[in-house]
Amino acid sequence: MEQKSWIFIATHGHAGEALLRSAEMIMGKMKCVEIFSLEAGMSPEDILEQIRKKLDIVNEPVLILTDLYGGTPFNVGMALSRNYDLQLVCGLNLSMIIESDLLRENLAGEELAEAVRKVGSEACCVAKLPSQNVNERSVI
Amino acid sequence: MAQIVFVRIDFRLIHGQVITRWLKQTNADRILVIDNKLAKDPFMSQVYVMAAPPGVQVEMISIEDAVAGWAKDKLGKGTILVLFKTVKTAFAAAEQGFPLEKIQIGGLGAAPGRKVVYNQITLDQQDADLLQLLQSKGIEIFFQTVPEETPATLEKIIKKLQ
Repeated sequence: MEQKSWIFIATHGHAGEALLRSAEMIMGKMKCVEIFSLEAGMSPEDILEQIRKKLDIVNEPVLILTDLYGGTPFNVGMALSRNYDLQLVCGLNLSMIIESDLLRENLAGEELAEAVRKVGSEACCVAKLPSQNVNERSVI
Repeated sequence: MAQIVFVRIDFRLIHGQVITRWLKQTNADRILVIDNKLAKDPFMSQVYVMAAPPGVQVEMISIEDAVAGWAKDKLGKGTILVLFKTVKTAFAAAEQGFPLEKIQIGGLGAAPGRKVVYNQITLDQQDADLLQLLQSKGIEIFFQTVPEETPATLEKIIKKLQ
């Protein structure tokens, strides 16, 4: 990519910070990532200003990953889309952080956002458990 | 006529606690955000409209339009969750004749001169005075952020401010 996207992670509490540390256990130190934690008592304007300041500094396309649709970090991302080149994805999980770091090498903008969304959706599944039935097992 | 099932003052308006907890708890199918500034900002209105889950209608209206809508046909149909951003807005709405019986204080942000009185909710003397005035008009005021919490009365909270 000519301009690799930045990844901003904005969550209720410090979930984003913790998830990034977890992702780095797998990926090693990740660059061009910023974390924003909405702490209890903080106003939407507080976190909006924090994100806005970083957006002004990075001056590149940004992918914002948030936790909850309709939550404050998400709403703030929506509000900032008025003035900044950003994409917004919610439902954050560990797979999405790992894959967004890989996918941004080749994708940007809406394509990147959609690819990360897909990864996140597919990461969530009900495990098909190994059979517990002894008789069934003996047949195998 | 519509039924107002829940009234909350929360500086975050539509956000995680409201969407995931109170909307389900109250079974409201409409959210009415009464705020003069937001009613005039189509972009931010859209942000909040999109923050609500499918099937829930969100309207951002001015105090004047809310009062007029109530006078006209009791705001139409459905079950309504009303949100105010500040104590001052709720007070102004009550003054202008918007019907309020019970108000939950669910979130008021930190600022210079404001003191945390209940689970991250802050108050200053001016807000406390307005809330006492509302209560003296027969409107029940209580503090509660999520359904699991036992609501705290205004009397109890005011003591913490002194």
